Amino acid sequence: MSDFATVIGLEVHIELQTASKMFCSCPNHFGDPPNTNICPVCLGLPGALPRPNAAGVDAAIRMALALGCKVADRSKFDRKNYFYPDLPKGYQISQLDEPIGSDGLVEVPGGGSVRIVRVQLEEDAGKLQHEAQGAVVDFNRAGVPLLEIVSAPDLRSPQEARAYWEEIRRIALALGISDARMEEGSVRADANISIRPVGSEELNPRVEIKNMNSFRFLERALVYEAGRQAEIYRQGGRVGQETRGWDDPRGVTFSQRSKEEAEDYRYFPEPDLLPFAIDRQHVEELRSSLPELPSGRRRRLLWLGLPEEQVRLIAESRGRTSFFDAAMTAGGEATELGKWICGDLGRLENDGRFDFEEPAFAPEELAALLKSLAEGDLTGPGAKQVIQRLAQDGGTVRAAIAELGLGKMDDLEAVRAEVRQVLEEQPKALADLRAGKQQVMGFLVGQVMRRTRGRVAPDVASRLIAEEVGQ
Amino acid sequence: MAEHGLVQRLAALARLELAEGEADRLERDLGAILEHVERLRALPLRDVGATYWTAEAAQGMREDVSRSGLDVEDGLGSAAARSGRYLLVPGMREDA
Amino acid sequence: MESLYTAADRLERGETSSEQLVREALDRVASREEELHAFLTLLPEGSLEDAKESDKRRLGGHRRGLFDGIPWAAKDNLLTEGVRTTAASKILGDYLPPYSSTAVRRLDEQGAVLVGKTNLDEFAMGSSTEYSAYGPSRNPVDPSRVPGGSSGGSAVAVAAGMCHFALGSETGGSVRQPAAFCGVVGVKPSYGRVSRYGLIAFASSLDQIGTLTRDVRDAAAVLGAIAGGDPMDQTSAASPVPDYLAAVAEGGRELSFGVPPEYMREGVAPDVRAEVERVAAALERQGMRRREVTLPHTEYALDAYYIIAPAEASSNLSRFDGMRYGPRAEGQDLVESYHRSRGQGFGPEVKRRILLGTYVLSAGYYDTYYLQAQRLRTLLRQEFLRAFEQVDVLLTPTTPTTAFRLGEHTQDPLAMYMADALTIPANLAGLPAISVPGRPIGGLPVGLQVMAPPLREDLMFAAAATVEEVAAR
Ligand SMILES: [Mg+2]
Ligand SMILES: [Zn+2]
Repeated sequence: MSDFATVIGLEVHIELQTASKMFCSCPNHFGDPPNTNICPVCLGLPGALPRPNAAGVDAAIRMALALGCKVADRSKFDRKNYFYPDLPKGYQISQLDEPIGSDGLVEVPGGGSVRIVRVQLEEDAGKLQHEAQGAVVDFNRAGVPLLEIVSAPDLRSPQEARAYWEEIRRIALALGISDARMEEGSVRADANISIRPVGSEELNPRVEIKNMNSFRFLERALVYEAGRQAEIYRQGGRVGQETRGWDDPRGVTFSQRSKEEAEDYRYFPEPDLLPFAIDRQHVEELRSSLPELPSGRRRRLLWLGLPEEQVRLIAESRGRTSFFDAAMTAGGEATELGKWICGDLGRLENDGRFDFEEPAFAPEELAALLKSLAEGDLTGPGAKQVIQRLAQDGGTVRAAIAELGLGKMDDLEAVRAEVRQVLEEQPKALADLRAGKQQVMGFLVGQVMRRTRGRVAPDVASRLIAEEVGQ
Repeated sequence: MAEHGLVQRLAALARLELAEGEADRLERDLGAILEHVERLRALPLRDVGATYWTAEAAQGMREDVSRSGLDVEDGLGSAAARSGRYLLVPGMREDA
Repeated sequence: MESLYTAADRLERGETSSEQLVREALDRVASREEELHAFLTLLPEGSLEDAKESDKRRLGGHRRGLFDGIPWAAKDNLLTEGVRTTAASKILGDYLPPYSSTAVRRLDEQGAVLVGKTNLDEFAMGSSTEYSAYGPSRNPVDPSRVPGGSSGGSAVAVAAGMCHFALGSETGGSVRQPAAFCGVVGVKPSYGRVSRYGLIAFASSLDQIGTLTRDVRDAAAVLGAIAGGDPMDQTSAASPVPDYLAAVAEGGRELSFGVPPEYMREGVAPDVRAEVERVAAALERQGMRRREVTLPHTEYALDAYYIIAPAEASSNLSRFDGMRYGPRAEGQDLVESYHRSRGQGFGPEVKRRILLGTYVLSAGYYDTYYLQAQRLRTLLRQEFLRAFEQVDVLLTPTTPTTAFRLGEHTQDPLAMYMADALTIPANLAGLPAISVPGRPIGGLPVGLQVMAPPLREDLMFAAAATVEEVAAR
């Protein structure tokens, strides 16, 4: 592989989260029974005409701005003609030569910058499922507003392509223009890939891999395809320009359509929709109301001294970032907050027991927890219990400490009594320790913790155990 | 004159089955019409802008408010085949 | 038959009832429909019921205005909720639309009584109504001749007294040309004046719903009833609708006009030209000032039209695929089912235009055909706007000839297309235009066309009222 360079460009499609569809008033809502959200317009009934949704245009402008694009002064819609049963009119309303955004640039975490060619607004197709007796179509998704974001062929590896796509998705989430649910197909991508000898600038025919809906599929498909093309060139063959699909179970791409069979989409300006001016002042208003983007969050968190892994984890979620920010405003120390948000709270989130978007307790409480720890009012293990409790029941750190009886034991003699009790109950461990097996110390400290429900600092417990054993 | 095979290619693009003899006839008609518009093609209009629309004072964009549309019987009641609430269409060849 | 206004007056004075009007209309249908074939669907029971409802309203003092109780007919490419709508094509089968077009709904709301859906060339593609999948209509003045098209059925229904007015649709002259051939008044409003919502699209940037009536005043009333912006059609004009009736009452004596020489060339029959000159001279005697105007690119309008209209049509007709509505022809797979459903569902003229449109939009041809035609359209429109700096309105023949015989042009598409040569420019430029009957030539009706600047139907109606007055003398 190393003698070839990979050239990849991505077309990312993102469904917008509007109340109504792009060209009719039907609800834009996933998961309803089939053909619930339909009307003459999105069913392509005779006589129906499209009416553009202003919110779709605004979302496209915001995405264009977030990607550093120029926003057009004037834009228009075009028809892309092709026959498919999920496309009721026989054409898709899309944009050809006057997209809403063009010429942007996005930084890929861990990669370079990628030029954005265009950000355009179009309508999604319905959903088609193949079945034994034919295919069935649900038009609930037909006409849902869709952004198409086309990158320049600036991506140099399957990994970078994946990182780019993930970043686009994060930006859409940060803007709140899409729920970007991969499992619901609200984010999809087509990839163009060609390879060429290292150092060469020649453009070889490219292969398009269509309609992927998972980051993992994309990466695997591109790795496979780069290898397949390299093998062809090594054997002195030529790669033909074509469209291929990805067969994930078999782990291969397969030919769908050659260049000769390529569709002729017969684009022309949509006569039912007038070109529209985009007001400069409106664009500036949208620009000034853009939220902080993932790249900005990352820069800020790195500057605060968080390790890269934590930066990535926090910055990718709007909820985690705002929780972090609020806790920091309340006096929490950044690196400690990072540990808790990515550690205990992150695990609780993964188990579905905590939601940073709608947290059960106020971020200020995390700052209060750190303060209690720092001032020695709470032990590390006790703090873990407090967090569990807060995540489950909400409330304040102060109340949780009281309810759990977790106030640190200040009376050293009382602690010593607990230690003696433990040693009495664990004669074998005691013997092992006396025999010099230091490994059992951790076990014994754990036992003291359990007896005292974490109200003793581990270092105090181990010091007292050592004293008792006479070491 | 229209080139040979043109009509078949266009009919494939437009998903139109043509009956026996229909293609020849259409090829002749198309040829005659295209010949007629040759003089328009010859006009030097490079610097003239296109007028795709003539609407004036038209309607603006729509507010993003959702409204329920048709129920499935009104929307798909005339479909040739259904499967429950779904539209049923013929299967596709494997390569599609 | 009497005009809409005469009927409304008699209703108002209690001299007749809506039921009586509808029965008279249905009687006319019964006596002449077999010969003329104006209708694809008749609604005898429904219309009588609606008429009785209207009579009740009037007796109860709740009359909804001029249109309440008046029998009318709609071209069968206008959707009517729950009433079969075919566009004279096999591909829609016995389609029952789940909604009505905005224009139909507006008339419904004013109490007008729909008696039926009229015949047309399939998908409004034609100039003689011979391309209807359900058989041609015939000209009531001379049934060996065509009524014109594509709104032939609507023109016949009005001319033969089967209703008091009708709606048609235009893409390149489909209201004015049959109006001229049948001796009634036909209006194509400015692009955007009437909502296209619920009109089965032919060529979206050219289509407009138009009116067919006995006289100019009726036309002004009907257009006033259906005009005005509609949020369902983004291209419909939001500007207020002027008082067309006031314009008719005022007449055009204060206006200036021109007769562009490009509309009076040898392709136009000498008798037709002579009739235009006769009327022009009479208008001058009425005080209207005549000025020279010229529209040099007129000769290319037909060419541009036969690129733009098929291109848009090829796309608009893609939705007719046998899947969601209309009969489906089975095949080995989806693609074959598409081919067969469309191949069997569309008639020859529709196929011709779909293929032509597919061609001019296809890769490598777009610029030389479609873009070139849209550029020509710019010149045409500029020329018109410049002419309208010189004169208020333009007077021309509506058609180059009077009605031709059935079968005369069906073997030669180009000859058929010539029938629209004088009406097409107004569609391309988006202008309002009206055809008013002149003095018949050899017993056959002839149309005088008045064109006005965009959205200036008021000027058009004012001038047309005077044309109507002098032409009758
Ligand atoms: Mg696209
Ligand atoms: Zn809808």
